[in-house]
Amino acid sequence: MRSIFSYSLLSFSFFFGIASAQTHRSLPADEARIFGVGSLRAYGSDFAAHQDAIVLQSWEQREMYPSWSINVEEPGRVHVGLVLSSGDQTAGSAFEVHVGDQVLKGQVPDTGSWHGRGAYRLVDLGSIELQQTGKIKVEVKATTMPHRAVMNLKEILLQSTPGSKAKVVLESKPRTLPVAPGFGTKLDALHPSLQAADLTPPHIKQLRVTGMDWLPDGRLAVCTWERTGSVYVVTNANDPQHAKWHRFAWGLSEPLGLKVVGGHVYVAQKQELTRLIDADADGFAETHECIANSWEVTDNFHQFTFGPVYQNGSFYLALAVSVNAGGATTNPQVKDRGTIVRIDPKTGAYEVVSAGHRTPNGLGIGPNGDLFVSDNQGDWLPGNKIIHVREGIFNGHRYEPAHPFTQKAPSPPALWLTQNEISNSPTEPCLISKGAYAGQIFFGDIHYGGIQRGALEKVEGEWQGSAHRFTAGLRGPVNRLRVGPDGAMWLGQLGVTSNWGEPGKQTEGLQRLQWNNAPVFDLRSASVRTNGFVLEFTEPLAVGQGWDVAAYSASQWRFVPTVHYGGPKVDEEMLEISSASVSADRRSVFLEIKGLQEGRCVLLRVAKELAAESGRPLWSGDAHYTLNKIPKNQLGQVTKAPANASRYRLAEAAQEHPGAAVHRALCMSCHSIDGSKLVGPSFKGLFGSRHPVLTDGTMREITVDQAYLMKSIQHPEADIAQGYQPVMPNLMAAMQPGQFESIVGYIQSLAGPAALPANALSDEEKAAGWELLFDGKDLARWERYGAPEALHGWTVQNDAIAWTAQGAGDLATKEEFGDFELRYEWKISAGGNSGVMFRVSGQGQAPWHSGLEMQVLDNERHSDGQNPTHRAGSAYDLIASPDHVVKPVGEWNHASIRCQGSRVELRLNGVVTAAIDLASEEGRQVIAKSKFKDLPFFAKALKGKIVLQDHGDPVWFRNVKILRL
Amino acid sequence: MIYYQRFYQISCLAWVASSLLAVAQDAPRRSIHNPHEPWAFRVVLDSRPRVLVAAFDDSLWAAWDTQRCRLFQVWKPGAEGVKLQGAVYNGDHGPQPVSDGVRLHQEPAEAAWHCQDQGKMSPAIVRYRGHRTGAPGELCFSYQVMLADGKTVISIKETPSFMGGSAPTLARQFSIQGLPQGQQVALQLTGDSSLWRVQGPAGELRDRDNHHELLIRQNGKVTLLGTWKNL
Repeated sequence: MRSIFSYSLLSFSFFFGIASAQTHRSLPADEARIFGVGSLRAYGSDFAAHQDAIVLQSWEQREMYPSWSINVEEPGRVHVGLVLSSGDQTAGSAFEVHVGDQVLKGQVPDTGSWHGRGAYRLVDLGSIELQQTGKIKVEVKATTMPHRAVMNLKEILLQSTPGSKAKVVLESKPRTLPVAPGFGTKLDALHPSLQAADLTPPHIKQLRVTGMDWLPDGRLAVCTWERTGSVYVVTNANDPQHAKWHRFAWGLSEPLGLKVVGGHVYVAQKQELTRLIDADADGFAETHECIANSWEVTDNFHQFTFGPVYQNGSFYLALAVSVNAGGATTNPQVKDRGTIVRIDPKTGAYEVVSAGHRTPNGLGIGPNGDLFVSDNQGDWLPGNKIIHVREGIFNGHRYEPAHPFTQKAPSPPALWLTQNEISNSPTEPCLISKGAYAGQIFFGDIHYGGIQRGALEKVEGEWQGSAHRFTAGLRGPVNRLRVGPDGAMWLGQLGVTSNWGEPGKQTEGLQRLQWNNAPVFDLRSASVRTNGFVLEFTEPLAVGQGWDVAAYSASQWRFVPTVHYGGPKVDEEMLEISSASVSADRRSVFLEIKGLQEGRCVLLRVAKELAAESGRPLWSGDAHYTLNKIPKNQLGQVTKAPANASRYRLAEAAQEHPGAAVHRALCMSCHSIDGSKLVGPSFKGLFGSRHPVLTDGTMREITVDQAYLMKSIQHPEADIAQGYQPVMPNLMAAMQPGQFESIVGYIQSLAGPAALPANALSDEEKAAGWELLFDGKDLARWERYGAPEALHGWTVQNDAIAWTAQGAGDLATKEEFGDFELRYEWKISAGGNSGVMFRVSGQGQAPWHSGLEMQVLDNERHSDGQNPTHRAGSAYDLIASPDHVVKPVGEWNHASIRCQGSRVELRLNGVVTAAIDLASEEGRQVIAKSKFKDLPFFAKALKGKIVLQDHGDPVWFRNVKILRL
Repeated sequence: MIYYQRFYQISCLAWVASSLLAVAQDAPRRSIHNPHEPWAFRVVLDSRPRVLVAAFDDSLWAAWDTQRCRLFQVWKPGAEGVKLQGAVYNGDHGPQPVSDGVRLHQEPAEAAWHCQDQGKMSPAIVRYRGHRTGAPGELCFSYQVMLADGKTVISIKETPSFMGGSAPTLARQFSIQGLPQGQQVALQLTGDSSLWRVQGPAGELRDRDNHHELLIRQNGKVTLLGTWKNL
């Protein structure tokens, strides 16, 4: 139930002349169910106040319509009004409001603007008589749309007329259950039935495991993805104290898979299937026999070869496509990229089994001995996949020139793994044959982390099923998962930096997961029926549990592959669960669900509070079901709830910023929200911060404001943030209407606390060891240069060190600094001149006799502004500074000086204005050509004071802070 | 595809055993000074895929194009020899390894092995069969070359080695088996005629169609000696 917005209440009361005490009901935008295909969505309209302004927007398809369910508890007459807006020259759409079987008609007026205060207007449609109690629909349907959109609709208001006893209650639309680890988000711990052992050898660097198998004598063979391209053979691998690792081969190119066949080690190198032969039995494979290299390759970094799987005398390999840095598929491709190929080891010849793959990192044998492969989201892949590999199928990824299989209809995957909801970079599937999850496939994930599992079933002859979270709490991302001879799961772990790794985790390693026989209460699988799903649990529910539909939620959507990276959910809608029927053994529940459609992904969620007979908490509650087909004539059994059925009280889910979902779908791989650095900067604290960026080849410092955020999303190539690769793709085409605004608003919402007060250190600076040289209060760390006891003329003014009197002299730090980074802000008076000298040793008569100076100047008015080596930001009389970097007089400039050994780097407003190694030949020549050439102590000292120059002009310094290197 | 399979169906089971005997038995060598580990490694190099780099010496590295069973490049290594860049090496997406040093020799991404076909020399189908390493500097490649009849496959082993001296030399010893009498195969060479010399009875240097090539008329051994005098 919702209270109406105060704005609307006032308007409504005013419109109808009602003072108070009348029954009124708001049907708000975010309670609407939306029907039809297109862009109509409820989302925030105002960047700054999105939470208060959820509006139905982007109503660009006349056929789409919103719908609310209301329960008429008392009949009577009600007024009906719409709070809506229309943009410039978009008014005029005619619409109907259907209230049950009654219809009111209206026309959208010109409200002057889509958004903003005052844009929304109440349109009264008159009154209707609600003649009987019961549930009815309220729907708004456009009958004409003369311009590009129908309207923005904020809410429908129902108001009982004077004297009417009408009472109406809004039926909340089905909602997803609250999020918790394992329920809408990642697990956060090791599965209770597992015991983990870390078998990573401490003496091997970068054990990034890309393949594992066991030799006939029980030793483990491991290949690694690192510089040396090594294969190790391990004796006693499961005993870290006694394990012996020795290198069996090296010099391989990016091996990404290993298989032992007939006692021989076969490795999938980046561009070759190779057999490693130790003919002289000295423990080292001196011979690398090429089994196959008959497919075409280029020099592209992404042309990986995954596998091999060996089956029926043939090897199977998965060939990734070429991609450009940033992720877009390279065009043109060479022949047969993005395919699963079958290799005849005798001839080396290959044949294509299936096509339309992108990054198929992981082939594995699943149930029935069938071959499965994973794939990663990208262009033409709106989500991640687990695919059942079959002869001749096309799996949807496209390139030019088109692969011949592209002519076929795309084959749906056995599992869609929605990006960042349950997967990001799925890896090799592995069949689990024993235990509570027998018959399911398990797979790791390079970026999402943990292990997920797939419960597959055949529907109309093809595999489909549900994906579930299985475990977290691992050392690092799982790239290879194998069941060893000991029945344990062996995890080969791999990560690199950025989104080819799991934030906060190790990037290498070997772990062993042993089943410990501890029982777990878990949602084991979901199985589709003609009229819903059967949820199977690993343990019986408690008596009376599971009957209340409020303990479940269901939603569905579909994906539309496009040339753009990833893709939004399309036609996402919550589903109505009509009934929940618990089986006699209480190990399964049939959910009767209306509106299921083939070709959809269905997310089923069980409430965390659902109780087991054992009393154990539910481990995970999501089933991501890929509903390619709905079986015919397989009805689930609906059973009447017993008298002792428990009611589930729906917890109120915390209101999530609408941009959070956009972040998860499109941004999470590269931008954290916790401050950690991934491919791109973290969203946390980004808004309002200042960053140096490269724009058209020139460094400049920007403030991340709303305009910058919008530009950086719309034109990611325009400004490249310093310290990051220019790999951000343009995601505009992948966004649903409103997502752009939502993500901008979300980033704003993650802004850090208000800007630090002047002359203060942030927590990060404190942690890094920065010190304030000026605290805004006094000059305790300063003295007059050459006359420490005679400080005058330098004072504190408005949180700044200020030069205030002629004859003040230079102001020096009491302390000397060697290697350091100094940051400070300065502003100069009109026509003024000053400077910051550093490493002033005291030798010579004046500070500039020994120390270098970073110039402070009014370039425009002071005559020195004509000399490039005397401009603001220059290394005075040594290295010129660009003219455009300095800010106008009266504005604060941000400057930094970094000295490390003989290297000196100066920055002004984010731009490097000078960088030189004073000990180099270049450095010596620069000095030799300067006015300092004859000063014996100039630039000789590697340690000294920092000195603010008295040049007889007013100047101010603040935020003076230093980090000793 | 059929032609390709027929070629490969002509098995080469004896290759592994014979390769064990073929590593640089005859070629003179000097001690290895380059500490690069591993000293022979597969890599994408200078935009060429399927390359094997051999860090013979701190004054000479060479790379082979295994796809075409031919020499790719010779260079005097700089500090790194090969600048290893890319996702597996430094996390960067896009760049791939490049040679570091002074390039002395490079051969094109074209077929190098030719065979007789109706009286003319035509590009032959080749199959790379692998390589074997021994001590640093000991390396042997195994190739198969199909003759124009589509049936006959000859086995060629190339054993390169580095020879020291005032003008360091790359010695490439070829061992040929299975060449029918009256048939010949040729390895096209890049570089002027002064670069390569030949030793051994199985082959000779000749110029054909503006190319310099090693012509092989009989089974046995022949050694190509390439000397870069400005090294």
